[in-house]
Amino acid sequence: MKTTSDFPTINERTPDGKREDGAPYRVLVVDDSMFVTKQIGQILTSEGFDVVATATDGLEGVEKYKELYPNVDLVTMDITMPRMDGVSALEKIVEFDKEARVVMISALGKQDLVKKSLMLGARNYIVKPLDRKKVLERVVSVLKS
Amino acid sequence: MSDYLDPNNEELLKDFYSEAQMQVEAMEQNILALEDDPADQDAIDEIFRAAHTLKGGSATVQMEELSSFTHQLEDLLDVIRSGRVRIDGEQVDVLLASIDVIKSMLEARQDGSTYDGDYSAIAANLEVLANGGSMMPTSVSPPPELPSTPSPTPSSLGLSAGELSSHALSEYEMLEMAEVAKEGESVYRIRVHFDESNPMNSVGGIQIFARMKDLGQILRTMPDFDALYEDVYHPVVDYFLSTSKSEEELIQGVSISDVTTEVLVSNLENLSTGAESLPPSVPSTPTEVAVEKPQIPEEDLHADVSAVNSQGDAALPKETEGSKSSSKAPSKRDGGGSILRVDSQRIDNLLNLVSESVINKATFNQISSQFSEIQNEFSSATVVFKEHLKNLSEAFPQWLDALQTGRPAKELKEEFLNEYGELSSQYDRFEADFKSTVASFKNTAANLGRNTSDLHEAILRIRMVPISQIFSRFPRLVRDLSKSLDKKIDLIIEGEDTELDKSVTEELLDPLMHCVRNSLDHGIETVDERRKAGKDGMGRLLLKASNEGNMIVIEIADDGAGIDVDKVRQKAIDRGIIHPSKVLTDIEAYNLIFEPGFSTAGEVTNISGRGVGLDVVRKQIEKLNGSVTVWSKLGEGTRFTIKLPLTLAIIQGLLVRVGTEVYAIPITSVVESHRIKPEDINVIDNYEVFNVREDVISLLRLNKLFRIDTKDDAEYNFIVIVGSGDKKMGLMVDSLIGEEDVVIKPLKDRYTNSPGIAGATILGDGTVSLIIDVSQLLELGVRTEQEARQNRIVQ
Repeated sequence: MKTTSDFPTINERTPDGKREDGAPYRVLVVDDSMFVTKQIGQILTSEGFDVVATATDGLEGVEKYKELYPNVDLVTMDITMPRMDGVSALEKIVEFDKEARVVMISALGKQDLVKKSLMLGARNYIVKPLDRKKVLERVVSVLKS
Repeated sequence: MSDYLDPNNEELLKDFYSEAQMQVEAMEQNILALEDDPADQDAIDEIFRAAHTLKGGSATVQMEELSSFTHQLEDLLDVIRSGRVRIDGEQVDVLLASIDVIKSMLEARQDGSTYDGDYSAIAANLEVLANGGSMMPTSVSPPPELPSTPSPTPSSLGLSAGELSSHALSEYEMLEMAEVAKEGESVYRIRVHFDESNPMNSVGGIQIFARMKDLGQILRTMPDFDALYEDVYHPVVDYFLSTSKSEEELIQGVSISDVTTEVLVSNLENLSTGAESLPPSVPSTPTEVAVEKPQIPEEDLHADVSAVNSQGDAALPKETEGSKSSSKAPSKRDGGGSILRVDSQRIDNLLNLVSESVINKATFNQISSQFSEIQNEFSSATVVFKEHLKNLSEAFPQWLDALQTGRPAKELKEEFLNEYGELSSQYDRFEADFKSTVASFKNTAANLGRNTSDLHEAILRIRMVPISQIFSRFPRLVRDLSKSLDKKIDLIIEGEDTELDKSVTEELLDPLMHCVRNSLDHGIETVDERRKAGKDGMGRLLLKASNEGNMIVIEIADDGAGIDVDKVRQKAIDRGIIHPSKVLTDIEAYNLIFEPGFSTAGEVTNISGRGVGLDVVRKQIEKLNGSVTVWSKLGEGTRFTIKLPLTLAIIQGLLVRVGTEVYAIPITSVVESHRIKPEDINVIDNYEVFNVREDVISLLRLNKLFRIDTKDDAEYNFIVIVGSGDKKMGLMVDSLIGEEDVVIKPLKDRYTNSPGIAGATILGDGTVSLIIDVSQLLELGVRTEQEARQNRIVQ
C-alpha cells in the first residue's frame, strides 16, 4: 500500500489570485449589494486575490478607480446600481484607462446591457447567482489574456 | 487559461476518470433498466444526465473524440427522451455498444493514448436511430438510398437544413471579402458554436464579436450584427474576419469556456476553391455539405474530431497535443494511486480518535515527568537513608560499649528509635507516589490500547467500499452472456451494501466473474433443457454478499444442472488427481473441480472451459486469505461460497516457536492444535502421520522444512492442524505462544519465492516473524504425495 498515493497533495497549485512573482492581483469590487460584494470578496480572497477597495455605486467606483490607478488590475462591476449604473461607470473607466479590465456582474434578463457593455469594452461578464468556479474562471481568463 | 482547465492537471484528470467511470456505470445500469421497462422515464433522464455530464467533462479535459461521440449519443438519447423513438432491443444494443466505445476511449486515454478503434459504424447507427430511421447492419457502409434531405431533427452539429442555406454565401460575396483583405492578411470564416446551457446564451454572439474586433477586421457575420444584438439564441454564428493572426491564435482568442462549445476556423481561399469543384446546382460550400449531411457519418466525425474544442487550452495543435500526452503517460501511470471515496463521517471519526491519542500522548508525557520526580524523591530518600546507615555503622561500637558498660537495653532502644526511627518510613512517600503513578500509567496504557484498536478499525472502515462496486458490473455481463449462449437468466443481487476492503474488492472481480461465467455456461441449462427437466425456462442466478463475523461471505448460486459427482470422480481418476481406490465424500468430489486442469465441460466454449479452470479462482481467493467451497445437487443447482477476511492488512495469527524462530500461522486456517508424545506418531508409506479421532493426519515438521536445528528430545510435540476446505495437515512445532493480531508486511521480491512463506510481521518486542502460507504448504504436501503415487504407478 503506497500511502503517498492515497493522499494526493492538494496544495501544489499556486492560487489563481497570485501573479507568477507571488504578488496578488488587485481587485476593485463595485456593487450596491453588501452581500454580493462580500461573496465576490470571499471567492477572490480565498484564491489569493487582494480586494483593494469596494464601491457601492458607479460614481464611487469610477472615483476609486482613478484614485487607485495604476495600482488596480481588475474591476468587477455590477450593472444596476444607484446614482450611476455599471454601464456608464464602465464607459467612464474605459475613457480614463483604455486598458482597464472590467468584468460585468449581471443578473439574468439584462442581456442587452451585457451586450452593450461588451461592445463598450468590458472584458467579460459573470451571471448572478455567482458560482465560485465560474467567477474565478472568468476573472482569471481576463487577467491572463 | 485557468488551472481548472489545464488538460495536464493530474488531479483534475483523476477526478474526471473516476467520475466518468461512475457515469458510464450509471448509463449502463439504466440502459439495462430501460430494456426491462422501455417507459422508465427516470432511467432515460438518468442516462441523459450521465451522458451530458460525461460530454461536458470530456470536453473540459480536451478529449475531443470522447466529447463528440458522447454528443452523438446524446442526440439519440434526446430523441428517445422526447418519445419520438421507441426503445427496443435494437436501440439497447446500439446504446450498449456505444457505452463500450466510450469505455475503450476512456481506457485509451488513461493509458496516455487516444482511442484509435473504428467506431464509425456505431456512430452511424446512433445517427440513423436519432433521425428516426432503422438501424443498418453495423459492418456495412451506409446504403445510398437514404433520404437525401436531412430530417428535421438536429444533426450532430446542431444545424438544421434551414440554417444551412442561411449560412451559405455566394461565390461573389466571398470574392468581395477576399478583396478587402490587406497585404499579409487572410480572410477566415470562423464558425462558432455556442453553448445553449449558458444562462445568457444570447450574449455569446456579441461577446465573440467584441473579442474579434481586437483580432482583425470583421467583414461580416451570419446572422448579421443586428440579429446578434437581439435577445435570441443563435446556436451557430459565422464570422468573416480579415486578419494576420494564425488559426491557432484565432481559436484561442475567441474560445470562451461556457460560452462557446466549438470553434472552427477555415480559410476562405480553401472554401472558395472547393466550391469550384462542386456542381453548380449546390450553392453551399463542399465542406459544409460534408459536415452537415447526417448520412455521411465518417466525414461528420472527422469534422467533429478536427474541431478544436473551446473549453480547453485550445492553442495546442492536434499532433503536438497527442505526442505530449503520450510522452507524459508513464509518469501519469506511476503517480496514479486509485481514488477512494470516503464518507466524511468516517474521516471525522478518525480525527476524533487521533485527537484522543494526542490526549493520550499528553498523559504519557505527564506520567513521564511524574516518574522523574519520583526518581528524584527516591534518590534523595536514598541519600538520607545512606547517611543514617553510615552514622549507624560509625556509632555501632559506641552502642556496643554502652551495652557492655551496663546501660539498660530499654534505654538504648529508646535512644536508637529516636535516632533512626524515621528510617522505616523513609520510603513511604516514594512508595505512595510510585503506586499512584504506576496506576495512572496502567490506565493510560489501557486507553492507548483501546484507542489503537479503535484507530485501526476506523482506518479499516475508511478503506471499506460497498461490494456493489463490483456487483454492478454483473447485470451487463449476465445479459451479454445469456444472449450469446441463448439462455434466459434472471440475475438476483443481494447484499450489495456489504462492505469490504478496497484492495480485496479489486482482487475479487476476476474470480467472481469466473464463477459467474462458469455458472452461466456449465450450470444453467438452455430453455429447452430446463423445460424438459420440468423447471422454469428462466434460469436464476443469485449473487449474494453477507457478513459473518469478521469474514465476508459471497455466494454465487444457480438453479442449473448441478455437478455430476460420478463424472467428476471419473475425470479425477483419469487425470491421476486421485487414486482410483480412494473413497471420496461428495463434498470432497465437488471440491475436485478446483484442481488444476479440471473442466467437466466436454468442449471448450468461448466463455469458459479454456483451460483456465476454477483452480485459478481458488488460487486468487487464497491469495486473499480466503477460501472457496462448492456445494451442488445434481439437477438442482450449484453454489459457490467464497469466504474472505474483511481486510488484508491485519490478520489474527497463532504464534508458534520452532527452535529460536517464531512463526505466525493465520488463525483462519488453523483447525485445532494438539500436544502429542513422540510415540503417537506413526509412519505410513514413509510419511509421518498421527490419528486425530477418526482421521489420519499427515505431519510436516516445520524444523525440517525450514532447516532449523532443534533438539528432538522433547517429551511432548505440539501439532497445529491447519487446513482449507477438505485438506488438512499437521504442522509440528516446538511450542505454542499464543494468538496475536499481526500486521502483514510484504516481503521483497527475492524472498517471495520461498515456498510456504506469505509475508513477515513485526512482533511486540521488535523481532521479525515470518507468516506461514498454509495453502502453499498444503499444495506442497499434496504435490509430493501425487508425485510419489505416480512414481509407484510407474513402477
